[in-house]
Amino acid sequence: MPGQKKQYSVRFPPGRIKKIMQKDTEVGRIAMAVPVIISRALEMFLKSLLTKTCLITQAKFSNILSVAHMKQCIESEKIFHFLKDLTEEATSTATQDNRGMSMWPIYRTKNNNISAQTPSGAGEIAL
Amino acid sequence: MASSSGNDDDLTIPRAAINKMIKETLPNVRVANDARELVVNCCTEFIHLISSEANEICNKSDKKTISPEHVINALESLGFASYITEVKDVLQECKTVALKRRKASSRLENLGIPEEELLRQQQELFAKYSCSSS
Repeated sequence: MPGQKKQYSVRFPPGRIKKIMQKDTEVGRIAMAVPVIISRALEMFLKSLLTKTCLITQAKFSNILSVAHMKQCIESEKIFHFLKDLTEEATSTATQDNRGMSMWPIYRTKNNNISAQTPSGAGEIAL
Repeated sequence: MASSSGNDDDLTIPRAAINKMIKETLPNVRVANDARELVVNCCTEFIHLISSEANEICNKSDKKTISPEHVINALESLGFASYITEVKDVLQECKTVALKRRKASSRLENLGIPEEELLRQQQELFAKYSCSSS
């Protein structure tokens, strides 16, 4: 441990984390170290989410990790259940717009009326 | 940094950082673009989850500022207790850095010697040594 400058290779911008936190109007003042430790917790969280999702990807012999795999992972573990609503939106958008998430304000809305809809017959998930 | 494009609702962790994270965690796995976008939004949700809980814990205590301790307790109560050891390591690093910074600035303050005076003292020393060498 002595002599090591930075142990973590990825770190998320503390300033951005603080702004995200303060979008919640209930949140007031935040100590300086807080966004930094949340960055670390977030790293660990993502590592866990990605690794577990990848197991599903491999189990399905798929070449590419998809939203569907993530959704399955999120539903399978209690610790990820707070993300369930997010995946509901993501899946319903994914079936409508197969170009991928380029414009995320559209991604965020519940009622998507994307004109460039690819007619998805068989691929549609009935929710 | 003032945001010129978009409003406050576009607050997310930068995509590049997420891509880097994905690359490091799953080096040989292809990840769909919309899956990456979902990961970005999962980050925001996670931050809100922890913040909310930490804020509640903070409100129950006598403090007005959310402290690292509140965050650690939030992680515990939300089921992320396994993260706490590493989080505490990071916290220690923060404290060490902050301490170093405080020491460094107080050292400078205590010098209190203005630059011209330091220059004068330097000249004196040079003069002294040139005298002694001859």
